[in-house]
Amino acid sequence: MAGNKIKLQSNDGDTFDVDVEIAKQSATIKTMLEDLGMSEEDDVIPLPNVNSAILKKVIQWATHHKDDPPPPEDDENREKNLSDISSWDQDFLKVDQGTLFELILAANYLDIKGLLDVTCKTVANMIKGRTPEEIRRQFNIKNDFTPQEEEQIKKENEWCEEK
Amino acid sequence: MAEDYLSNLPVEILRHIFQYCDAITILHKIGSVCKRLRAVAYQYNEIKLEVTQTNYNALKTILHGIPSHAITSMEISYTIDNTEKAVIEYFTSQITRFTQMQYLLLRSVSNYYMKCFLQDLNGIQLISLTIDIRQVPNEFIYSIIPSVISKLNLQKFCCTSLNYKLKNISWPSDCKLTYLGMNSCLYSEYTNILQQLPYLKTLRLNEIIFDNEKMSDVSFTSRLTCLTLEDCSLSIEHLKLLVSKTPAIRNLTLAFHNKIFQSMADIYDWETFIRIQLNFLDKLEFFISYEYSFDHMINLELFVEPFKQSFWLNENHWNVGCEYIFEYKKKILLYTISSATRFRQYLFSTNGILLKQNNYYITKRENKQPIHIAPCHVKKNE
Repeated sequence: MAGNKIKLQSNDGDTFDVDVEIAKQSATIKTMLEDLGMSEEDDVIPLPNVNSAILKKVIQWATHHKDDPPPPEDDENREKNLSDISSWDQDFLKVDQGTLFELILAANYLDIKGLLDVTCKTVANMIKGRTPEEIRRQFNIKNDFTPQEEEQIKKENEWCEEK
Repeated sequence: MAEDYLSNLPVEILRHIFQYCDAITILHKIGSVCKRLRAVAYQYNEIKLEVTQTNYNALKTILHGIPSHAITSMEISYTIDNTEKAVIEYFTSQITRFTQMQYLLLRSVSNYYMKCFLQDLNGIQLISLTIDIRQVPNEFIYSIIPSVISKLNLQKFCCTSLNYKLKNISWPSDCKLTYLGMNSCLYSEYTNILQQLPYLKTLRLNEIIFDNEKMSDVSFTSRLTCLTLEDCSLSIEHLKLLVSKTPAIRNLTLAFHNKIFQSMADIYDWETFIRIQLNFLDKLEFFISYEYSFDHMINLELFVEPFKQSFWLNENHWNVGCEYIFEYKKKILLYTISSATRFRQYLFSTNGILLKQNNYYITKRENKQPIHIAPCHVKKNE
């Protein structure tokens, strides 16, 4: 089967030839191929939630990670080891916020666990160690609390920061 | 104005991001940003509490505001002697309140407090308990472990300082443990563990101490699928016998830290052993550190040559690299590339040259940091 290709089509109409084994890192595509009986040669798989630029990045990520060992069966990493991001992935994710969040949505839609994990870790690292105001600035979030709510939250946080 | 992507993410993705955040970040930082993030943060029910000496007061404060079903895991890493007792007592007294708690981890606790903690741990059921005692565990700890595993209905138990001996620990009957991590066991008693823990699927040991040629001759059917030996010193022959006791095994991780390099025959023997004896594995990771005492230059290509066969590259995708470390003790590291970052804790700051997939790289390791690999512009045979 090695070397077989499938065609993936982005929502803006571009098609990409991708090795089946690489594309199958997406559980969504794997299900389409295996359970729904889509044949590999003739069909084009439309991906209505992903644009060309993002699909290109996703394929680049999946190609680099094609030989990664499967996640451990024993779930041992569930509890720890959460913040490790390989240097390749760190470089790969040096992108603007729009791209990063579109990659998260694409990874979620395509069900690519490794990509979803690493993009979510990246966002978590952007949040950690920041104050609420710094988080708002970092992600352009509007403070929509009422003055009363704001006062309540301020009180809670004061208690929390007392040593 | 740039767009606000974060607070508009679907709930399931925000929850995924929260998996990588601690309780204070989720509830007091993210929860104070805007209405939507506050709502998602306060509905999040997989909070991991990580208690350390710098945050325990803050955690005590927020603990009252967290619904008792929201906490699924707690980790206590607290090492200040004079207040250790109060902190451990406070947080363990809270445990029974957390009805959905599944994972509990206690780091670097003394024998005395570990004893109090294990005795007081009642009325909850966990999936996983990891304890790390900063001294050699005493007799009391050994004697209480079976009842702790039983009463908490544990599936996973780890105690990195525990040395299993048949005479010290008798596992509870019909023990449901599927995951066990310990420091060591004796080679002759390895089969006793497998026999007494019939549901065990994963076994992680730092080392298996060779004491006797003969393994205990007990009959059992092992379901073990995953074996990890972090500091193996067994010979190939003994490893072969060890693996033969667990026919269901599919994942094997082995690290050897103190091998002395004799000749290239060592490398060929190792390669043949895996290709002939372990060819049924789904996943293999190994890391071998050889001390190299020769004065002459080494050719890394000779070391990876046996691993260029189809068995390695095409059938299994097990890429093996070889690294030369220039330190006061010269070392040659031979390892599966997928495990390059895994064994980092054994090497402090090092610089080296790595050959993988026909390319050379410069490597650097800082204390406990992941290996850093940079391309090196050396051509083959240069």
